[in-house]
Parts: sequence; C-alpha cells; structure tokens
Amino acid sequence: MQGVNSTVKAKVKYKKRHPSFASRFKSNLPLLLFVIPGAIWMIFFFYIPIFANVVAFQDFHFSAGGFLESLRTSSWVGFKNFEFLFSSNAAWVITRNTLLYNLGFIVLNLIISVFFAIVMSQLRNKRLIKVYQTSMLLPYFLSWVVISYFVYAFISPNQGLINSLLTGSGGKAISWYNAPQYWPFILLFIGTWKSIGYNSILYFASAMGVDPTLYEAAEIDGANKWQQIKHVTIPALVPLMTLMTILAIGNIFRADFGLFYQVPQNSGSLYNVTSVLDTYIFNGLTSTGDIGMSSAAALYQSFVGFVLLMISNAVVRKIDPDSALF
Amino acid sequence: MVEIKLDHIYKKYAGNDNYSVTDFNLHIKDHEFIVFVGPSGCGKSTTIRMIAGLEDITDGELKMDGKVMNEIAPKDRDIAMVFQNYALYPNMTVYDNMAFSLKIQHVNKAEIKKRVANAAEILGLEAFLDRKPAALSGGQRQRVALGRAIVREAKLFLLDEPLSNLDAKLRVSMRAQIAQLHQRLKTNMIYVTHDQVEAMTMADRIVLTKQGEIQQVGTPSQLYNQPVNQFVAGFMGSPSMNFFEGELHENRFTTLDQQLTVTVTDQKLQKLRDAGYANQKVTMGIRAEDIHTGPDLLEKMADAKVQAKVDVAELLGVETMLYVTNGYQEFVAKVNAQNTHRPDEIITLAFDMNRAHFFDSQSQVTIA
Ligand SMILES: Nc1ncnc2c1ncn2[C@@H]1O[C@H](COP(=O)(O)OP(=O)(O)OP(=O)(O)O)[C@@H](O)[C@H]1O
Ligand SMILES: [Mg+2]
Repeated sequence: MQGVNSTVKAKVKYKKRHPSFASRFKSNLPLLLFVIPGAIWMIFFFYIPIFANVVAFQDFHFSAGGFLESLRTSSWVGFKNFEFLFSSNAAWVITRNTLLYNLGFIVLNLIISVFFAIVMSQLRNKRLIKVYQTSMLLPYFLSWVVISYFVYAFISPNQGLINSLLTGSGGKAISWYNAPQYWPFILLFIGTWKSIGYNSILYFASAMGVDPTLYEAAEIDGANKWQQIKHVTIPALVPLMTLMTILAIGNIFRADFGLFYQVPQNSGSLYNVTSVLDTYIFNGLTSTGDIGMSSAAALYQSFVGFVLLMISNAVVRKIDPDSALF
Repeated sequence: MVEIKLDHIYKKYAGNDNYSVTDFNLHIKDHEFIVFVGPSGCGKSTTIRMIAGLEDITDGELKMDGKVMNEIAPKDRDIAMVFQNYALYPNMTVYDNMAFSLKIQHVNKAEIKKRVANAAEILGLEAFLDRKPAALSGGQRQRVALGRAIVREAKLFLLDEPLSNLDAKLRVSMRAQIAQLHQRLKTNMIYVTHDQVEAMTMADRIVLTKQGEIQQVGTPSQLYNQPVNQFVAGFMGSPSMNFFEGELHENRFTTLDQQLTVTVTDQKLQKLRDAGYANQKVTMGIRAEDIHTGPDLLEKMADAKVQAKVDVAELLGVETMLYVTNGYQEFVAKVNAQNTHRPDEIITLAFDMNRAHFFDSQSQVTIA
C-alpha cells in the first residue's frame, strides 16, 4: 500500500520542465550558425527594405542628403498614391492581366508538368529520360532577352518564320506586334514552355520516390496502367502539387517581368493585353520617375499576394492538413 | 485451391552473369502451405515473384491447374500477394486499401462491404477501418496487408517475408494467425522467409534453396531429421548442427587432430561401409540437443564419451547452452540446466550416436 502511495506522490510532484531558452540556444548553436549567412541576407535585403515601403504614402522627392534625408523631407500624402493608381483605368487592366495570366500559368504548369513527369516516370529507358529532361530544361536557363529574339525570329513581321509560311501558302502576313488578340496565347505558351522543364523535374523526382512495390501491389490487385497512375502516382504527387499551387497563388500578383516586357518588345499597341503590375511599375518609374506611385503599386502587389497566400493556405489546411504549409 | 507446377524454371536478370534461379522444380498440391527458406540472396523472392508474374521467367514452365501461366498478367493469375514492406496505399483508408482490388473489378458495393467486414473481423481490424496506414502500428499494417489478400478470395496466397519487419513477440503471434488463416481459407500459400524457425513451425512442406538451387523439399521433420546434405543439416535447427572433420577407423570416428573419438553405431557403420567409406575421411554432424551431460546418459552412451573444456555456459531456462572446446574443435551442447557447469571446467559429454549424421567431406552429400 505504501509503495503505491509513494509512486502516486512522485507522479504528482513530477512537472514537465521546458528547457530554458539559454539551454536550447546552446544545444542548437551549431545549427543556428548555419542559418546566419541566410538570415543576414534576409535582414538586409528583405526586412530592412520593408520599412522603405512608407514612400508609398509620400510625395517622394530625392534630396541631396540621401535616402533617409529624402524620406524626412518628402511630404506625407496618405493614400493619395493609391487613389491615383485605382482611379486610372490602368489599375483594372493590369490587375486583370496579372491575375488571368498567372492563373493560366498555374493551371497549365500543373497539368502539363505533372503529365510529363508521369510520362517520364513510366519510361524504362534511363538514357531517353535524361535526353527529355535536358531538352525540356534548356529553356529554363535561357534569359528572356534571348527568348525574345527566338520569338522575334518566328513572328517578325517581315522575315519571321510564321509569316513566311503564311505568305508562302497564299495567306496574308500578320503584323504580330500590333495584333493584341494573339498575345494572350503567345505569352501563355512561351511562359509555360520556359518553366515546364523545371516543374516537371520536381514532379518527376517526387514520382520516382514512390515505393515500386505499390505499383506491384496495384498490378496484382488488377489495376491497369492508367489505374495505377490514378491511384498510386497522382496521390503521391498531390502534396507537391498543393505546395506548388499555394506558392504560385502567393505569387499570383507577381508577373514574370522578362516575359511581359521583353517578349512583346514593350510594344505600346499591345499594352492592353501585355501590361502587368511589374511592367506597369517599371514603365511608370522610367517614364515619370514617380517613386511614390510606383511604390504604391508595388505595395499593393505585395499586400494582395500576402493575403492570397494566407487564404489559400487556410483553405488547404481545411481540406488536407498534411499538405498545408503552416 | 489450385495445383501449381514449376517445371525446370530458370531466371537470369538482365545484366547479371549468373542465374538467380536454376532448374527449379516443384509440384504444389491442393491447399498446401509451402515455405521457401534459404539464406539471403538465394532466389526466394525471385521465385515467388515469377509465380506472381511480377518477374519474367527466363526458361521453364509455370503451370496452374495444368495451364501454362508464363505469359499471363499478374491480375489474371488469381493470386494475392503480401509484401515485406506491406505496400499499403498511403492515401487510402484501411477500408479502401482492402476494397481496392474489388472496386477495380467492379464488384458491387454490398458485396465489397461484406467481404471487407469479414476480413476485418478475422483480423481484428474493425476499429481501424477509417484510418490511414500511417496511423497504424507495424502489426496492424501487416494485418491490413493480409486483409487485402483475404478479400480477393484468391486461389493462391504469396507471402514474401511478411513478418520480418515485426518484433519477435508480434512475429510469433502473427505466425499463429497466418497458420490459422490457412486452416480457415483452405487456399494454397507460398510463404518466403529466411527464418528456419518460421519454416519449421508453419510449413506443410519446406523448400530449402541455396544460390538459386533447390537443396531439399520435404516436411519440416524430413529436413530436420533426414537432411540430404551438410548444408540442409546446418541450416535447419538452432543452434546450427556441429560438424566434425575426421576419419573412420574400424568402428570408430576420430577427428583429424586425434583428440575426439567416438564409436559409430552398427547401423550407420554398415551404411558407411556399403558406400565405400571404410577407413575414409568423412564429416560427422551432431545436433546440440543430441549431446548430453546427465550421469545416466553418460553411462548409457559410454562408448561415445568426449572430454571438453567449457567456454561459455548460457542458461536458457530449462536448458543450458554449453559452448565447449575439444582440441581445435569447438561445438555446442544443449543440456539439462540442472547440471550446472562453469567456464574453464573440463567436463565429459556423451554423443547420442544414433542421431549422428555422416557426410562426404568433399561433396557434403549425406552418407548415413
Ligand atoms: N532486379 C534485379 N536485378 C538483378 N539482379 C537481381 C534483381 N533482384 C534480385 N537479383 C539477384 O538475384 C539473386 C536472388 O535475389 P532474391 O531477391 O530472389 O533473393 P532472396 O532469396 O529473396 O534474398 P533475401 O532473403 O535477401 O530477400 C540475388 O543474387 C540478387 O542479387
Ligand atoms: Mg527476398
């Protein structure tokens, strides 16, 4: 009896002690050291510049004393920069373009890169897989400037390959850089073409991580190739698909500057379908030099992106907690 | 309930120089429990995977109920397979894992439900049907893998080392469950293991392979008591059989260092002489449990007494395992724990020569 009592007492007395901050710091010190370079970089190039966003609320003018001095002397204008941004027709067009193009990229990238990843994972010939991967990955490493010349070679009004084909077969040449109706497709195609190799490698790696005995089990269970893909491969890719989509949605307000600026060669007659937040900010900054306005647009971009990221993560957490980011 | 015939089966993997399975012949009758056993890399998995259709057969014929199956797809062989790592679909619940094959075959919902419920009841999985495999213990996962096989109501069960990821205790209880399952389902089962205890306890017949070649096929007691060669004798039983290199002189067997000499029984001697081994080199084998230290047995086996020094004495409960040395020869005796022995003590042991085995020193084939 006494023995029982004493163990009960011992249990009551026992309290779970959290290790103090100091001891945790000490035991994690080697790991923390690894973090330092990255952390310093983040602090200088992300966290400190965040405060510069206040210029979005200023009628900013550079003065002789440098940036901080300029900040001090510029007058505060509240939300006037934003008002100006939203009252112009531009805000609607660039927001629409940015969102729709990025939505298009998210969907196309997801479907096409998963498709290629699955095709590659089904191939038995290792050499062939390498060839496909390399040729698909090549555009990813090309700069947009180079690509814009490729595109030009195809659709240049005079010597372009496509126009030559058109006229050669009795059709009429198209002035591509003045024909906005074609550009949504051109941009979607080229943007997807450039990134597909990279994305499909990610999915391919994930697909190769699937335990091969799962396919054997499915084969014995009577599943054909398509059913194996549907019930084994795709479910294994879902977490990565979710992750990539969440990240892409967080960036949905961030357009690929090179694609929208270089490839259409900043052609004014295409602005209605090629102008996106990033090019708008850049054009604004280079033509008017209005830092306050451009910062307002940039802050708008970041803020909406942040909200979208939080929302999409919350949605994912509801549906499938394991796939959520946080 | 299927009759399976493996007819001169060979397997060579692309890129390998050697055959992984060589001239494999086996005839499996109605609801037999067959165990493939052998050391790692001897081709057990390869053989069972060829039966499943997961691996091509390089040469030979696999027949089920008289029909050649070499080119038949796995799904059309009416088999169920349990994998060593369970191979449960991680994204599906336990219920869906078990129901998967039936859904694929478009079995109607009510029937699926009935069969899964039945399998879950047999395996005690009712409480876990809504869980995903990640939320199960190893033993529970293994039972789900079995359940997935049960719902198929297949004619042949193939199990490739299904218990090797479980701890010793769980292994013993799952062993019993699988044996019960076999009683109940009355299907043929082919079970792969490298654990000879599992083979001994579960099998109707054991197929012992070494480097892709069958060494012996037979009941557990046949393999244990009448091994066809030294490899089989050494593989079956734990601890492994003791082997002594030596020579026959008249009716006595003497080790090469002359330190150990025992009288061979008349019956064995006759066989040895008939086979032409009189006064020749042979290898004698004797199991640990056939070596005794009890005073009454020492008296009874007076002409097979051996002196040895105790190296280690391991108390196992009822029995003690004595690791002893005689000259250069080390061997193990499993003796009654009542007779206590200390390390470095010189003791007398008696060999039960009725139970001794003799092998050709070169070919290792059993002589007597
Ligand atoms: N996919 C493969 N490609 C080439 N060789 C293989 C392949 N699978 C097995 N082998 C070879 O075939 C031989 C038999 O292998 P197997 O897997 O059948 O052995 P096992 O008896 O199941 O062994 P274990 O008890 O370790 O599972 C081994 O020598 C192995 O190296
Ligand atoms: Mg194996």
